[in-house]
Amino acid sequence: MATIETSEVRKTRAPARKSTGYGPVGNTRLLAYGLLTPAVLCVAFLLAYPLYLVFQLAFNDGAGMNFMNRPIAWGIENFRVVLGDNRTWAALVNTAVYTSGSIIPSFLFGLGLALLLNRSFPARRWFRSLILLPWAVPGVIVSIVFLWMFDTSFGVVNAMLRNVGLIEDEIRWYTSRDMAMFSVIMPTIWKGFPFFTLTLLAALQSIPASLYEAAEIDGASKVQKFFHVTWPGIRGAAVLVTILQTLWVFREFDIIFATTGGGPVGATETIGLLVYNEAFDYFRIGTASAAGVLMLALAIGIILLALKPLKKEYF
Amino acid sequence: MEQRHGVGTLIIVALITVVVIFPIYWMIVTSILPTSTVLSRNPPLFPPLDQLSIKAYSDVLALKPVFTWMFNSIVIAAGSIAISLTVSVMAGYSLSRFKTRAQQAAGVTLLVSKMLPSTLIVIPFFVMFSSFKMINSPIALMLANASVGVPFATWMMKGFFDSIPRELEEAAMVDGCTPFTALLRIILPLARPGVSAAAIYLAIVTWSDLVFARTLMQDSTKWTLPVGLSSFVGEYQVEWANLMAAGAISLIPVVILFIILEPFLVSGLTQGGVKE
Amino acid sequence: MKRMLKALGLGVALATMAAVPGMSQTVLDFPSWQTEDKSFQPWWQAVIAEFEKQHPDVKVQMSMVPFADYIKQMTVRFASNNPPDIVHLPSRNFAAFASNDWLISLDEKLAGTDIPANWSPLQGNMKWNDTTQGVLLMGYGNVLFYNQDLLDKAGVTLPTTPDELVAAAEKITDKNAGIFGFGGVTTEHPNVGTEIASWVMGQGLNLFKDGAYNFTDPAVVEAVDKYRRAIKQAPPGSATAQLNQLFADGKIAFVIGGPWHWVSAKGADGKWVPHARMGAVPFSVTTGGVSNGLHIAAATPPEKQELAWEFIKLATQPEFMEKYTASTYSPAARVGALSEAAIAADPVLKFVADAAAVAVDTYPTLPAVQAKYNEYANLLTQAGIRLQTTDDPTATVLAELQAELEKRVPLK
Repeated sequence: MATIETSEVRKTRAPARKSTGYGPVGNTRLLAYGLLTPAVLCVAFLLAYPLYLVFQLAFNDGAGMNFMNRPIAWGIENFRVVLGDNRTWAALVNTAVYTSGSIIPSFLFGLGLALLLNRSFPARRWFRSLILLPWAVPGVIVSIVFLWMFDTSFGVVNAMLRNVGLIEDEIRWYTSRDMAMFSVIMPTIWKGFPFFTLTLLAALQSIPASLYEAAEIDGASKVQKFFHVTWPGIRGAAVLVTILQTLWVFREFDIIFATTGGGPVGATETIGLLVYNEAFDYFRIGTASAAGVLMLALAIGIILLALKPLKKEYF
Repeated sequence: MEQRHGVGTLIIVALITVVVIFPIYWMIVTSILPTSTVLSRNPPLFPPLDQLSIKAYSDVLALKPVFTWMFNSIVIAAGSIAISLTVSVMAGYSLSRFKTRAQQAAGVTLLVSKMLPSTLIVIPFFVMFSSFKMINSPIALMLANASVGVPFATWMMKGFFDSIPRELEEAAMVDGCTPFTALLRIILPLARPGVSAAAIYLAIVTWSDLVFARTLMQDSTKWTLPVGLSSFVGEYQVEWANLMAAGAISLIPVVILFIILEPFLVSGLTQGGVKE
Repeated sequence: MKRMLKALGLGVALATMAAVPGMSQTVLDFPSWQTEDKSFQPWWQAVIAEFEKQHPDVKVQMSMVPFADYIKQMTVRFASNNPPDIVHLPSRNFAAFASNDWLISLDEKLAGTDIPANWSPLQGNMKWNDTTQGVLLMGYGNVLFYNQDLLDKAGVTLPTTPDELVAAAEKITDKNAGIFGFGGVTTEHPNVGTEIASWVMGQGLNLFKDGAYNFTDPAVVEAVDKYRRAIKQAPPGSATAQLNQLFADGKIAFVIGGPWHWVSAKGADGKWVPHARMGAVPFSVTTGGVSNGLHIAAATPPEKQELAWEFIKLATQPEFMEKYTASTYSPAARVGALSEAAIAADPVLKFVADAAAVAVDTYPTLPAVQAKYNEYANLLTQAGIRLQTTDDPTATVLAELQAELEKRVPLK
């Protein structure tokens, strides 16, 4: 009953095991849970109440900001309002555009860069540090710097584009409906790609050189080597990092809030921004929470979709 | 032949670096030029040397307690790294070495915890910490940051422990170690690169946090750098040079940390971490 | 590794020590977005110093919250029953807070003071459900800031009508030189809505008529069209903060705004920027509004409510109200706050006070709009952004705005 299933993760690395656990079974189990408890407590303590409150407010009809002092009126009115509002659907589309528009280029750029940085060239260590630096820049600074560089009248980007003759009129990066989405995606990619590069680079470096040598002996082309040696070697890392970054971008709030606030005219209002605006601009915490629950459901959906490849790689 | 290959890569990488680093470069250029030069239709891409001035820096340091914020940020980062590392090393080891159903559930919980929109967490957090009388308490902020950092750090550590053969502990236990002392004496020293990598990850997450610090630290002497920086954009004025100077100052610790520890980050992830 | 952990441990220990608060005094918590503002901070410091002198066992802890984050911070604090002891609110958000029953009525307290008799009529905006729930600190009339150098260079005189202003602005704008004839908010910020309301009401019209929206009135459309022509001469993508900076740096010819912006025309050296001038708005009606006020939260314990009231009473004393206008160029809400001596010392002040005295408030008077003011202001602002960035006919934009308003902020 109380047997501990030992990890089957290390298919190749670990040689055959002789025992299935350490010492007395009960003791081991205690250790297993004992070690895990602080993490679960840490997360649960900080998660349980917020989750409870969000759900309570989402199912609390007409909940306003004064919810602490008003009785709860259970119902699904908030969801009816949220799902019946065009704004919600527009925000969902924006979220999809923003997330995929940030993740796909970050992944491609991150991967390309990882392949480059995996080669040997002079001063590699320094370039690697420099090129990964954007990851370490706090979101506040990222937004401020991009707002400044892309300022319509005095920004350096418009000046450069004008000087090389690409544009005549200024581009209103953050204030026109056509450009705003592109303009909030740029800093998101900038801050996001290094994490791809970093994890993929680590994965690349763990591919044994012997595999490439073997492929060369078999007369494999560069493309073949990528698809038969490199990609299988980094696939696991690629899946995990993509999921993590997708979740990050999906919830990302700081960059959009500080640059466009969801505008102009809702052009960059993602679900995260909608939640914020409903709660703090319009004081409708009930509908905000309902939208938050919706967001949570979507995130769980993303994870469920990803669970299969994730399991294949990690469990 | 080999050398030429290296130079070709170097040129491509250098070009990409120039583009990638440009925002940081522009931040620094803006901070060392007078506003009249910067607020122009054709700002100079390379700062004219005769106009350089550190006035923005002296202004910022005179007007705003940037070093206090930096100190606060460092204390908060150190504290939450200490908490999260301890917690996630233990949890990662547990997830790596023992497999039970409850633990899988715990793994999923850790992942789900990353999904609640931070804007919605703010009110419950404030309710919680104010009922514990922990508003303005650095401990509260460390805990909040830990809750964000622990899930992924745990994943990182699990992957890393997976790559350390368990025969090592078994051997140690034959020699009389308990499982716990085996973890402390044998496994942890081996896991150093992984721990360093996790520490950098946690440092960056904490250093960037605005939402929690903004909400929990009401007293401006307890602000962290991001909170302080966001206070520069005032109701009536924005002074780009000062803002950029403050931004540049706030990047210094991160840059130092990054340049020193970056090799650990890659090697830490390489030996274990996120890979098959 | 050991050393690293030791250092971390030390950090935690230090932080723990820092967390233990002092317990000896009563502390009044007073967050504000003006805490570090260069014009308002000295005034608040003076009031606080006097208050602490009169109440030696009380400390007023004024803390800084950035304006962009202010309403959110206050919302979080009120919603979690942890409001500040002294409540300072931008008046356009007052109704939202009052409608959540978060503030107490000050009627009884006010009855014993000279405030009802001596306050600007704009104090009426501090009413919710027929009770007064705050004391207005500042109500203002808009003024026209202009750059004499740019006017001279373009050979235009000071405009006195909206048409003249538009013509002058169009003549001055030189985009290639980075010079803009007009400065108005061109990012999505509620101030866009306020500016539109100001242009309409400044031309003697109104956005509401007989308890209904009035955006389809041809006269309103024409008035908004003038706003549209002016704002096309403004630097795109600029918020109030950027506009002030650009005006101070000599890049903008005209800005219409509250008189306190005058302070930002002070150079880094503390001297007035030589080209900056202040004049009357080129409207037939001087528009203005309520700016900010002090309130007391319902969730605050009674003894602290009493102290907060003492603080409000002190801040609204005549001598502090005079200092307020004189040091911040913001007209204090006390009528006749300025003495003859103060006016003689700085004639600009009289101008500021006079504008406030005749100003017509652009803040909507209908309670239905007030309770949903942010939503109303956002829709108006979005229409404004559309006017700025597209070529859609003004009449169409306003008609669609009206339809959307009727749906989201119904008046009946």
